[in-house]
Amino acid sequence: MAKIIKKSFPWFLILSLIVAVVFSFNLNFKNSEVKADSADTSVTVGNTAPSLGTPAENPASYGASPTNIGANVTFESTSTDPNSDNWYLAVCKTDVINPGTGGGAPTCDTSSTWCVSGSTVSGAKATCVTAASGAAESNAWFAFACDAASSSQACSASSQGSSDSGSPFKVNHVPAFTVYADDGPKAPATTMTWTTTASDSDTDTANDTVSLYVCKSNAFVASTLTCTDGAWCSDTGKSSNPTCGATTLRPDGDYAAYGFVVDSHGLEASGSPHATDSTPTVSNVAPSITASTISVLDTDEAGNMTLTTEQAETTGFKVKFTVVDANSCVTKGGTPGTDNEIASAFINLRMSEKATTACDESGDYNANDCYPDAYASWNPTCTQDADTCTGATDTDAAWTCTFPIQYHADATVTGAPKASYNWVAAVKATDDDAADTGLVDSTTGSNEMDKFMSYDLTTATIVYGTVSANGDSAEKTTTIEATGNVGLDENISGGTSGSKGLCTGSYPTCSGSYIATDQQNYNLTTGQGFGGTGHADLAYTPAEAELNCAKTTTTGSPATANTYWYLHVPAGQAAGSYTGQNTIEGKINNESFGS
Amino acid sequence: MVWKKINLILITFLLLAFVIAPTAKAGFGISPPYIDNENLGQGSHYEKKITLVRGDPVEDWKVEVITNVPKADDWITIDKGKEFIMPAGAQQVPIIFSIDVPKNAKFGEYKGSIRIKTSPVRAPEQGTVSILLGGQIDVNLTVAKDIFDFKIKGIKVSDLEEGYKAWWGYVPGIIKFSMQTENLGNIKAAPSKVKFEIYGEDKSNIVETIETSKIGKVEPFKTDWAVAELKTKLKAGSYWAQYKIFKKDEVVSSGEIHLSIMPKGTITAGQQNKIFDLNSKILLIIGIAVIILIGIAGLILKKKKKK
Repeated sequence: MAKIIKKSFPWFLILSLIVAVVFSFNLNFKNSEVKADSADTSVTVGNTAPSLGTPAENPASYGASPTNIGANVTFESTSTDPNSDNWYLAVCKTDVINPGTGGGAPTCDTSSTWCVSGSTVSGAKATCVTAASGAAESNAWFAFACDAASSSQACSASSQGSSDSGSPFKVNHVPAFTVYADDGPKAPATTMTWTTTASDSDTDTANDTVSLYVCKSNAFVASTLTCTDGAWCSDTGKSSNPTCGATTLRPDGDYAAYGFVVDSHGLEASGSPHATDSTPTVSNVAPSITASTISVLDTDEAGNMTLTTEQAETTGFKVKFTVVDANSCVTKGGTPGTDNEIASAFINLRMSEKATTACDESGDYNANDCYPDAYASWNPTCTQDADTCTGATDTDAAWTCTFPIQYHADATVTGAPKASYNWVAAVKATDDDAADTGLVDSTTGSNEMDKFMSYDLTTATIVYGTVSANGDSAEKTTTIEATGNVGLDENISGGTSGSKGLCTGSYPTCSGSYIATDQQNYNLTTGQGFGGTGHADLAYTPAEAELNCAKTTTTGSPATANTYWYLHVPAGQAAGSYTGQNTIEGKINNESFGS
Repeated sequence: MVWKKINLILITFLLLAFVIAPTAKAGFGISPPYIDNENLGQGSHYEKKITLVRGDPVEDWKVEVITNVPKADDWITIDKGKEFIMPAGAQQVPIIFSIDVPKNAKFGEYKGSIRIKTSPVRAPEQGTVSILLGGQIDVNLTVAKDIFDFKIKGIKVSDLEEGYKAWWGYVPGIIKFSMQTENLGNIKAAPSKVKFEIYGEDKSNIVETIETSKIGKVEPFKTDWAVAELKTKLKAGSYWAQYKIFKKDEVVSSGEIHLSIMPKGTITAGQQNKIFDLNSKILLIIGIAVIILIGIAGLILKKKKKK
């Protein structure tokens, strides 16, 4: 029992105390009426620092996405002030903040301010901005929320944010770029190479790399890494000195090539030589002519060359050939067919008995077998064929030279004295920079000069004059001039089929008096008289006279040969005026010029 | 005294007139003045163009053509006929002689000549002996058995477009290699084969070897361009080719030529790559039309079966 009382006594005491307190308290409430005496009351509400939300960089500035130097880093956060005071967002370099006074802005430690916002309503977002600068890649920051109370301003504890948008912010620096050059001049369709001296010293998180873009104009978009008007080449992601190459265009001349270096975050280098033009040059190369493409052609481009103008030039012969130029058939920026890379061409035409070098000067000219372009009075016309140059990647063009040949140019077909030869052309083309092909001889493309039998008679009539009956006329002469390129004989005939050589009536009806055809003689030797040695009687059937008129060799002085004529008027022939027709048919001198 | 002076002036004038009066020159020519063919076959048809030339065509001339080729006279016809007019003003008058060898003509030589006689259309002047002009064409024909022979007189190649992939397959680039071929024989002839070894622009390596035997033939006795079409898979660029032209197994001509292969779409439509001599668009249209026709035919057959 005593133990029980001992154990339960404390509990009893406690309960008693509780009852006493409650009882007295209730008595006090019941007795709340103040008695007649009063008392003054007051309270001071203290300033409490605002609470800082999660500050952040916006956009986030971190290793993979740093802020380019000179660009802004924006900090933002929200904050609620317990006293409903406005607040400031202060971002400092160190974890030290000094609240403001009189509602003013707080301050960081000396030279340790990134930025401080303006006064911002409690609960609203505040922002402040600082420019990314300085050599450091990584920059720590501490954000504070400080109120703008009129007195006893207070600041929150610092916060450095979190994740990528938290401290530190990263600064990306401009890559170094000091040298930019191409290795031109280069030949067409070869590789032009651009080299640089460029690097980037940033190593935070990962070593920055540099890339080179060589653009065709001074227009480069760093955000998309594209050249607005096309790129020659690029070399990306290099630790230093990016270099790249491109195949040169064909037309010779200077081109534009602007070099742009950017780092692995798309930040362009600055200053020279960034965005400068290296002006690469495609050099001019000499053109060439393939001998197998040179063709010597007749006026209708088919068959042997045929002369068709007596004692004068036949025009319209052609030499065709193809010129190859690695610089293309059109000049840089030009119109195909109008702005030709090949500016001119000329030909020397000759019979193949002559060597190339024996027919390449003015003094070599000989209308029988050599027509050099240098001879002032012989003027071939050479032009590029239309529609043969299709564009700047086309490296060949066809040309045609048109020219005349004199009537007595040597025949080279079977039977002619020069039958073992043919006619060939040597061709030379020159480009717009005066580079030329050299003189190129035709090989398979030769041609034959055909025979041209042509003659002039110096008189259209034989005038025997007045001849007495039983008398002979004086000697009369007909002269043949060789106006083609062969020696000549002649077939002579005359009179009618009834052997009437001359008649008083209308010829060839010859109803009146007539003199027989064979009363006319002809002789190739002068002074023989009628019936003299070597004579031939005129007959209705043609007979060949071996005139052996030589081939003309001098243009203005045709070779000639004479035939001598005599008339015998038989005794008792009626007086009167007689009319007749004799025929002289030219033919090739077969002994010299074959059949 | 005055009359004496006047008479002296008149006499002087008359004398001068005779001295100064130009001697009339008449000219005539034939180009070429022969018809030669040693490779005629039985049944051959051969044409030869000959141009008659006048030096001073002041008046119309009548032309008479007189053939004298024993045993072959009736093989010869003239496009203008045996008599025609050379009109005033015409310095060159081409005429075509056609030789049609009978199928039973004997083998051998046929030689002779053709006379060309001219005369003014107007009547001869009374009291004069005028000289008429003319010329002789030598004729030398040989009839022999089938002769296959030709000569290459020139070559050329056109720019072409590179090949490309179409939905039905690959369309190659077509190199059109033209050979000016003189057919010396009496049957149609053309090179038997053309072979190209193609090098790059620097001529250091062979990049492709191609050949073809499909070459257009040239008629007997004619000179014409025989075209060989070679298919290439080379891309656009500048190339050099060593070509060889064959007559049966013999190389009759060889040399170097430049090829310019252009990017697709560069050359005008008429020169585009073709398959079976049709350009790819026409081929597509024909293909679709054929499919439609087959479908219609199928429907018609089905209907008939149901009946």
